[in-house]
Amino acid sequence: MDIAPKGYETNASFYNNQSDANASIIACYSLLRGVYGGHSENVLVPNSIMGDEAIPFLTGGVDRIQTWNYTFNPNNSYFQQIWSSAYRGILFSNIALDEIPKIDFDNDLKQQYLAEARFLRALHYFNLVRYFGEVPLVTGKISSLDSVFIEKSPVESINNLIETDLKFAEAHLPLQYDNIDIGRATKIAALGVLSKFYLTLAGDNPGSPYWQLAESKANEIIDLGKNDLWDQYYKVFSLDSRGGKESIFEVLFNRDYGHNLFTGYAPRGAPIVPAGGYGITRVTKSLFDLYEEHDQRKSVSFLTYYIHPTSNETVTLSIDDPDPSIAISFWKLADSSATAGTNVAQTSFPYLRYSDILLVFAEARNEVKGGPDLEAYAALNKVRQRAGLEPVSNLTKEEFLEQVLLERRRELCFEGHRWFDLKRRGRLENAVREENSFNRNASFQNHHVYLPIPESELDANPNLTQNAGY
Amino acid sequence: MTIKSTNLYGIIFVLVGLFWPGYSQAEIKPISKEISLLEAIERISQEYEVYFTFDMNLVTDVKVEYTHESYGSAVEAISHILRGTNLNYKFYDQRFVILYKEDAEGLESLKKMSQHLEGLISEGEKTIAAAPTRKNRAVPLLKNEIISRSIGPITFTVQGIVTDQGREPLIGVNIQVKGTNKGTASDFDGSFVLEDIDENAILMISYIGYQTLEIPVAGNSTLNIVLLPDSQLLDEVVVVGYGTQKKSDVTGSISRVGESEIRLTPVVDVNKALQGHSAGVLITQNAGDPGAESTIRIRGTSSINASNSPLYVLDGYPLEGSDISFIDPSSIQSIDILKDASATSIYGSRGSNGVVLITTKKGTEGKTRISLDSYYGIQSIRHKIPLLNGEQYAEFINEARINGGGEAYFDGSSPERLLPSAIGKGTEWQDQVFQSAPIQQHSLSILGGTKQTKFSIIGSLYDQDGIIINSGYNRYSIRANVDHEINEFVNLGISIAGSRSSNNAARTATGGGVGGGITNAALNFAPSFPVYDENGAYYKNKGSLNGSLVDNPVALANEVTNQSLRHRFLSNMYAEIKFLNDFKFRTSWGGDIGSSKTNNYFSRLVVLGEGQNGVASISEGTSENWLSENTLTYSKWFNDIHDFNALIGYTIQQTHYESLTATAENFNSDFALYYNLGSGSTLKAPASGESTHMLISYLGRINYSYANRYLLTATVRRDGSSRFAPNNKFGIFPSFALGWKILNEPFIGQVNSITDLKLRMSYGTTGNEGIGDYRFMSLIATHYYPLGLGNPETRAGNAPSSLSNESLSWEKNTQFNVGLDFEVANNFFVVADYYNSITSDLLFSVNIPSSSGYSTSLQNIGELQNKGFELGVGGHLTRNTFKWESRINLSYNENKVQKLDGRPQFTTGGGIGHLVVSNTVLLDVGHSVGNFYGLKKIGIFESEEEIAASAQLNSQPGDIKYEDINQDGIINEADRTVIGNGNPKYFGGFNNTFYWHNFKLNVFLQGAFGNEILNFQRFDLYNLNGNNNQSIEILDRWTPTNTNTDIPRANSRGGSRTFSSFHVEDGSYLRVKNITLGYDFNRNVLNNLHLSKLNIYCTLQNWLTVTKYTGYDPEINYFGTSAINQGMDYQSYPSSKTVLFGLSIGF
Repeated sequence: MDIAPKGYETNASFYNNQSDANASIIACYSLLRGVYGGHSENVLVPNSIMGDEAIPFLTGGVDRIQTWNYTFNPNNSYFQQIWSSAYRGILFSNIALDEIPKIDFDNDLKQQYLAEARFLRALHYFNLVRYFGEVPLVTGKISSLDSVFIEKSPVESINNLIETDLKFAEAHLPLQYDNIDIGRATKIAALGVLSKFYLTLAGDNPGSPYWQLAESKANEIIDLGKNDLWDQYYKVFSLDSRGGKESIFEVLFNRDYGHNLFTGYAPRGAPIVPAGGYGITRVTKSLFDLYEEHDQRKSVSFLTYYIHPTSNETVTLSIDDPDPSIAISFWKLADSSATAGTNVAQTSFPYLRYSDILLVFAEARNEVKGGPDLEAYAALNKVRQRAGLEPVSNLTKEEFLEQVLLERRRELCFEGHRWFDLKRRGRLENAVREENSFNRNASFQNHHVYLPIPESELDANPNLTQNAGY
Repeated sequence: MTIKSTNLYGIIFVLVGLFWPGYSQAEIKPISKEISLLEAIERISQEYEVYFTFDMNLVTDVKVEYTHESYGSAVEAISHILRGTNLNYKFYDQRFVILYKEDAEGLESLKKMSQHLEGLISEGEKTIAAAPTRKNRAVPLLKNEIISRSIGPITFTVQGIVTDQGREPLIGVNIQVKGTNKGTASDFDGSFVLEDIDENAILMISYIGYQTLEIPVAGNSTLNIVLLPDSQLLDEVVVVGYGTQKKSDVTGSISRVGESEIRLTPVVDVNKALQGHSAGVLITQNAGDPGAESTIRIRGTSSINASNSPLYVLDGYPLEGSDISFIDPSSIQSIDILKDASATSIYGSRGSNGVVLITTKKGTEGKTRISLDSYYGIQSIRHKIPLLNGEQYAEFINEARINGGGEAYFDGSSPERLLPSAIGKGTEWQDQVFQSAPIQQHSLSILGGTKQTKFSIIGSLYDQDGIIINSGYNRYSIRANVDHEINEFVNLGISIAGSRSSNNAARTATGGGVGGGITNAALNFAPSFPVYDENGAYYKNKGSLNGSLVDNPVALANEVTNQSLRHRFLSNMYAEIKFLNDFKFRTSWGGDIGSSKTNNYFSRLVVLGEGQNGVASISEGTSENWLSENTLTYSKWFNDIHDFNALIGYTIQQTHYESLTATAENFNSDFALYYNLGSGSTLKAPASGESTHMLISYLGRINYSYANRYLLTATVRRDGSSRFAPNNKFGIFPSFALGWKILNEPFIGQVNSITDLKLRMSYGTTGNEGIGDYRFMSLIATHYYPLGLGNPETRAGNAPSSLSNESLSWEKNTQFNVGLDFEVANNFFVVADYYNSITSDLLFSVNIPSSSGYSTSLQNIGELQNKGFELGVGGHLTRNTFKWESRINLSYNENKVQKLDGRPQFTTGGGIGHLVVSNTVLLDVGHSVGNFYGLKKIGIFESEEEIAASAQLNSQPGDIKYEDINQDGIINEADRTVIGNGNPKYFGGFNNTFYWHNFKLNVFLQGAFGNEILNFQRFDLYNLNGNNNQSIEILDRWTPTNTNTDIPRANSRGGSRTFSSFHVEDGSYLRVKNITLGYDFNRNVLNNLHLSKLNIYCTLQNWLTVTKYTGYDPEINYFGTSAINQGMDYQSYPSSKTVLFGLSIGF
């Protein structure tokens, strides 16, 4: 009567050796595919349509439109996804952190695995705390139903955990990996996320001590000299550049486990991607018009026309025609080598790249030094010049900041940063109100800087309270 | 003494029965040494309760020796008295005795008589022998002494034929003139003549096993008389778990559906055959595909996440799972549906959704009976959905574009943008993919046997083309049952059944949009598009006129191949040993082996396969199930008044299932379909799986009857299931029932017209273990991530897939039932039942905080109630040769969620792919499962003033107006309310059969009432945003000049998929499911053809349905057996209507 499954090990019988430990870490990484690529609407879409980057497909599901014009409510399925996939990642990390110390194998490797688990846990909490504010802080393995009703913790506690985890990661992760392991988190990745984390904590506060921390962590990366920018912007997103010098941490894909940031974002029905594009979002005019004509980033980031494969006619796309089949689309993560299928694009999702680090450094340095110094200019201009723009000089602190934020918007669009950037600098409301194409009329209110705790979560957990305003 | 007869042989058979008037036990005459044979027969008949059948000429003037005391049994007595005569005898079923002469003529008559008795006995299920005392039911008999010519002034002669319903002549039927002692009996042809009677006389027609009739002669000189079987007289037997029981002794709620009802509507599967025939049993065909499954619910939805399907038991073998599509309905003798706890608790943990006991045809002693049943028919679509034609569509598109701030699209500027008037009708896509299609079935059955060995062999072939091109279903099945009696103590037998079915499925009900199916595409694809482009290839369009991105419907039908093949082999053998008079031990061993294989190919000519250059996949599953059952029965009848029966048993059953799937893409051509996966250049990772389920059970039951008045049944089963954790494997399921046969109470006296009056009451518990295997464990699942430089290589990681739940246990169902059986004079009956059942400890997939990393956990939480009322009424009306038989059943069920997982309510379920409309159902404590939850449409905005005063300030005249339920001035999810329910409140069937001479007409109605349907198709057909074709009803859309309407305005920027009452429709329907007109050929025709039966018929299926529903069919269930998502419709295979011609031949 005690029949054990033949095809699966159980929790009780697994976790015996180094290979099992490694498998538990690979599982942690695997969830990144869902968060940043799989079905693509997890972190990226809300981030880009809630700010001023993108407009969603307007005759589809209600959730997407409500996310865009800030009429959303706690039942929003995208927010539920952000929440639950982050916590699933946290769970997998917690399991690894609980099980691996009990397994007997090489201690350095063990510390590396633990550091990877903590790095990824921090990454999920970093998303959660930026989207939702106070959330339940889960740090141990959950093994029974009695321990699942967890209250919210203060933002400080969550930030403390993120910082501790990242510092542990910084201390125990290797600088680089052998070929087959390239893509795992490195010490540089930990430094990079730390610098962004401190930058976020610094907010819009000129006197914040976090500017210094952000600047020094970014500077450590620059000083290590392991990273650099590609000479051309398009190379950043090419298949050949995966695991290359500009990547600080990326989410990897291959043909079998690919992403949909390609067919999903092509103009609706456009026959240039396998089975036609979905047109999930389109580019806002305000973003599109921000680029100067010779900015390399414009043609790499956006699809403005295509050649029809059968008629050979050139189809010109439009920034303001409401027809989604001729909408200018995000194209920087497209994988033209993918000829079949929908979730098959192999380009990496650039979670954090060196140009971001340079801009973090420039922004933080500007604050620390009370204005741009040579090093700040160098960092900013390196990014500008790679894009084909002239270097800037002779800017005030404020002008420099504006220039950095402008470059961030142009350089990093559609990479899941814009809403966070607007928010940390307190510019969200203005940006949302200004981006008003397609009669957005966003009903933005102050409480919208945090998303509502998903209704299903409140239903399932009586110890949880809704965020203010919802 | 002469007896008039018209038959050629000049033989008259009579039945000499029991209990002659004036006789009683005390009055047995003293034994004489030599008496007439006739007298000896009479005495033996009453002494041993046997019926004699003989040729009167044989016994006249024969004297025999008769010694009363010396006979130990009827056999002994008969063989003794026949010594010294030239007569022989043959015994049937321990109660019928045929006397015959051993010459050619005598043997011929024996043969005919035997055949007839066989039929009689098999209908009676051989129970009379077990129930020898039915003293209140004397069989009228023919007394040969009184058949004499009376002298009178009036001489009128009447002649006629007596047959049964199937036009079989009845031999030896007693025909008496009421109030006189004049009478006769029918001969071999069933014919009779009565001379010299009053032309206003009344004839009393009586026959064993048939209902007695009184027919006024009324001056008619010819009478054709049809006798109906009398179920009461022959004490119908029903199958209960692990045995049979006389229907009159049953204390539980059991519905029997007999062969005639099962075969009424020619359908491929058993569930559909049951539809409308049993109170309390709701059957809904999920869609119209050939071979489509049905959803069956006995007494409502009793579980939320565990199975709601009943347990099917085939000839005593409990089947794993609910797939019974392999069973050929023509092999079925009867189906008994166990509904209340008293009946089902013998099946313990699998009984809570009811039990369906299927009994196949068994062989009988006597001449081998061969019959062939065939039908052939044509199916066509029952109802097309009226859509816009090309011109109407183009006008609508132009209007939508202009209203949305754009310009007219169809402006005559290019060949693709002709002016609306130049487009004409365009393409009617439904006509392109629907067709008329043949359907046929042929089945051959051979039933026969000797006293020791009986057999049945039934084979059939079913072949159906679908009404969507390139779809169809066929099935070959064969079954053999053999039973052998080694001696009077040991019986054994085996049944073997095999079937092969093959299904070419059309792609439907898959969700819409890019990956959608044929019906969705046929409804959405623009009528302005041609079928083929100028190069002869399928016309494709991915532009803005095809905003739903659906594929060419004809391409989807032709270029998607989805073929599945199933094999099933089931065999069970048993041995039954009787010992110590009252004990019977039965052991059975059997196996049920199934395999299924599904082959799928998307060619490069459909969007589904064009990106991948063809996608081929093969999935296979094999299951092996074995069973051993061992029962011991003790039956004893004490002191004439205590009838006691006890059963104990031990059973063990195990199923092992394995599956395998392989997929390949990127083929150089579409040639090989799925036959050469290796030729694809992209091979996907294969997948395989395994599961094992085991059940060990101990069971016991006591039936006790006191004085044939008070009945008691007590049942208990202890089940252990591998699906639960070590400490929770076993559960005990008891039940208790009482019955009171009020009619047999002395105080009732002899009310001749009432023939049955019984009150039943039961209470008990059953269980449900209908979840997957290994669910209490935390299994380690695999997760993939690519790593490495260059081309990242997939690496496998592992993590637990769920939280383990060691306390997971049985779902329990406790049911109370009270019922009444009532019958008047064999021609009117009522069966009524009230039940109240509560399912507690629901196997409920509880939402747990996803901050745990998990989202759900299967737990025993929650409570559901179903209470309801079931009524079955039947009767018949006879006027000479006309007869109307009718049966109605009606059921009412009320479902209520009593308790959830702590939440008062939550939304769930019902999202379909690209529509992104989910959480359409509200689960709410205090209300029924299956409530649709959305906004309430209260009209269309007519003016700016109306908008200004509303909660939808961004609207424009012509937009849908919703009710602001919480009156907060905004329309959002907080304004959702219950806008329908997918479960019918009432359902039932109404079956009528009319007999007139040789004609038989059947009209069968069936319906469900009080339910709504969430018609997801309306999200497409009424979106008015110009992305796809629309329902014809949108011609009445809102425009500034057409304001009094329910349909919003055309608007290319509208149509967001907001779920509201606009998408919910009344789903009630009443359907004339079946009309059959049949003709039975006369005896003389049959004799010439050397046939025993010939019947031809024509059937119309689904020709008339009364409903307001605008979809293809109100009988629809997109989500199949899901408990929560009932009554949802999206792009299903449409249902068909059928005309069939059939014939039935008996050799």
